[in-house]
Amino acid sequence: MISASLIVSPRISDWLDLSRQGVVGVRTGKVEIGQGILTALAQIVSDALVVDPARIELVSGRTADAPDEGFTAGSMSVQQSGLALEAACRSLLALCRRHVGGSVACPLTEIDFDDGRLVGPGIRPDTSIWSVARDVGLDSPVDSNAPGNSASRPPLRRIDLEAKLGGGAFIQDLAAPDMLHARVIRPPRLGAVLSLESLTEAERRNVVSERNFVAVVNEDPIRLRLEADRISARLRWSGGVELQPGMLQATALGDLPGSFTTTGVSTGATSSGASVSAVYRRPYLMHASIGCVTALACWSPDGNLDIISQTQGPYPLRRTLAKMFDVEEHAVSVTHAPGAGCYGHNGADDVAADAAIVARHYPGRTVRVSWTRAEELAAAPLAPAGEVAIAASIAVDGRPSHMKLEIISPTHARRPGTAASDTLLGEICRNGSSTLPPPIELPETVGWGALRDARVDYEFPIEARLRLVDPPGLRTSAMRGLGAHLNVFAIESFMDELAIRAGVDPLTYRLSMLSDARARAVVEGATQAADWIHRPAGGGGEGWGLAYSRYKGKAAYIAVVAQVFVDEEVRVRRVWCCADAGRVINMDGLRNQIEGGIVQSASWALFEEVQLDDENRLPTSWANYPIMRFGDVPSISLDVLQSGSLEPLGAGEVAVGPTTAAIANAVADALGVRVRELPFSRGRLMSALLQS
Amino acid sequence: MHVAVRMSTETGDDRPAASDRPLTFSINGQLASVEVPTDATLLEMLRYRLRLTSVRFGCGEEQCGACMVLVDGRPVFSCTFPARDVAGSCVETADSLSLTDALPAAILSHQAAQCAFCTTGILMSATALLRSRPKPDREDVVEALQPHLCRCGSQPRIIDAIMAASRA
Repeated sequence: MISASLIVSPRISDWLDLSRQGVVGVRTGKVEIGQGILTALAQIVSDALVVDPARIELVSGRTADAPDEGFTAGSMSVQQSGLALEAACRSLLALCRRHVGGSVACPLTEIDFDDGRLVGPGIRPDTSIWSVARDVGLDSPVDSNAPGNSASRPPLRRIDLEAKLGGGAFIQDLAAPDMLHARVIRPPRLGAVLSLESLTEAERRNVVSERNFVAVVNEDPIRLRLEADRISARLRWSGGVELQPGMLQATALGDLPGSFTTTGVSTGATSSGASVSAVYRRPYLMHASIGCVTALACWSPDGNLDIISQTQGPYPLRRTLAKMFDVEEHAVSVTHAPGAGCYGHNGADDVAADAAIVARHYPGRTVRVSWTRAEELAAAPLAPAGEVAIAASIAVDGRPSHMKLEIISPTHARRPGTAASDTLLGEICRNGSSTLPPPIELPETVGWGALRDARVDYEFPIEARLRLVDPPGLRTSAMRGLGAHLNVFAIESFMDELAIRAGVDPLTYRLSMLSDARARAVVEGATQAADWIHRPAGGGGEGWGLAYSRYKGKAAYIAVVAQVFVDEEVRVRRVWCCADAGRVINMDGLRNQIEGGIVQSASWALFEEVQLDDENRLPTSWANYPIMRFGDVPSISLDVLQSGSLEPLGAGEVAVGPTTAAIANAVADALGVRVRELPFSRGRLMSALLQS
Repeated sequence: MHVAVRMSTETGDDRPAASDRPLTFSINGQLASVEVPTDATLLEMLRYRLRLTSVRFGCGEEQCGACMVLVDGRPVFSCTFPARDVAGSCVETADSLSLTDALPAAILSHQAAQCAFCTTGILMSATALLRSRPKPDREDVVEALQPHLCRCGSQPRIIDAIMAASRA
């Protein structure tokens, strides 16, 4: 498999820097967002080059010298950056062999590498990857077919973790001399018009404003908070798009204008038989990262902009900012610094624009903007709600002869660069816009957006259609798994409903339609670990559920079994998971990502739902948007199958769909009643029971 | 350690500045005297005057625990705790811990973090727990960590790590 990143950055020197003796400089466009990618990349380089990991120095997400790899998203980093780096390392070793082999009588195959030194008969002891790099340079192209056997070393522990147990490791901790702090006052509604007339002269001297963008500035972050709170209460806003009561209910999506236009998978013709249908929904969700997004910006007096950002896409952010300020792309540099966990398109790019707008008023000075919790929840894009109506024709053997999905969803795609303008909050206010970029569906090449995983590995034809809707005033975009979370919840719930209808155990039912050996292996692995066949009969308040999916049809295979107890609320007691992610780069990192995805998905399934308050405002506090706490976390048993495949498969997002689906099936098993709307709150359980 | 920064009011604040009273307290075993505005929180004083950035801001409303520090041995949400109330007290932050101490070492050996933003606050609650109850059972650990949020889903590993530290 050829990494797409090599098309943009084809030379060895795009990826490796050996200009300092004994140091392996590694450049990647992918960034650390809490998922451990830098550790996985260091592992790949250490294994492929046969060097001590301590020699590796990573440059990540820095537009000045790291390759452009777009966004760190979609569980693609190992396949893209990882395979590009591995090929670059192997190409370097091949280059070393050819260079040295020409001057000594040592067969190329007998040249070995030991921590950067070249070893073999007749090779001078001071010959190393560094000396070869000095002699011939590294501008030759990466050969993605360069042979090589990566050493199999024990997994590296997270290379960034020790620093993060103290101060100074996060973007929030960075400070520049003479730094200014700013807080943006957010309009209460999209498109609301700002008036500064109510402010005193003194207050106005403390704010920076451009049309509807307004920020309070202070040299001291403590005084800034006090001042911003005062000014915020005194600003006047008019107009804008009011959020309407009830519009956040997933059931309201169908009332929005739009027609089914985008067609996803279609794998066969309709056949006849008994028809069964059901509708599944999920609400809007929030990223709810523990830290608040932060950025630093500085404009040089000659008009160059330096940004330090926790963005997932340093290059797309650079392009967007350059366009926004009408400067050359090369006048903008973006350097990544780690923030708290990032699970999708959050406010990271917005806060970078905030800082850039304010900093332009103070050339030569660094401006830091760090969002409040209220901004972090209510100003960041929401993850879209959605509705999936499934209909199936059932053959006489009880199995579907055809399945059809109709999906209604707002867009999952409003990242910077996806539209010509107004993808950033500050930009919207500065332009006086009152509309967001039109909703789009991501293409099949990136695994779709709302249509993601509206597909199955089961042996029946399936087709899916999408109706994109645009709820006025709501900014939605990508969060972990995109449409796959809802689609897998819907399909795997429906599969259970069909199994029950056919009177067949859900495990047997699935296996009877699953021929891919790796898919069968994870389903069998999870159910054997859970001792599925000896589980108690459902209906008595305890329930067991199973779900399977292969993320995007090309990432890791995963099966999940959940055990729940339901009285007035749902508690998830245990989760068993079996995954096959192909060749594993760093086993503990992989396990950590899957475990985290299970917990996060369980939180979505049980607790999370964006609801407007009495004044039609979005939640600005965890008090109004609760997420899972320690006491509700299930115990997790995870098996990772090593299939021996040479291709590593993405894993960061694979658990979210099947975990929610397994919990859904367990809840239905416990109650004897199907709940088709997330989350499984007390209210939802009650109304499902009343309707049964 | 002692960084007393007086901010100028040149940015246009023409009201009388909130009085900056010097506060004297013990921070991680050292005496500090710091001037902060009357309304400053403990978190703000620690982060912005003493540059103890292991103390993390998550919400400012006692919901997430990222800011947890110990005041006279008791875990407090520093994001709402008034700075002035620590006068004469002993304040401890994660900076007082060494990576070889049982708790951080267990977090590292269990790789019990993903983004690790919540970790320092959790370490302080766990420190207080193990002092008062050196051999806790699992339920004690869960209860002590109930004020804390972790969005990455590292809770199972964090609980395991704290249990392991208590056995170390």
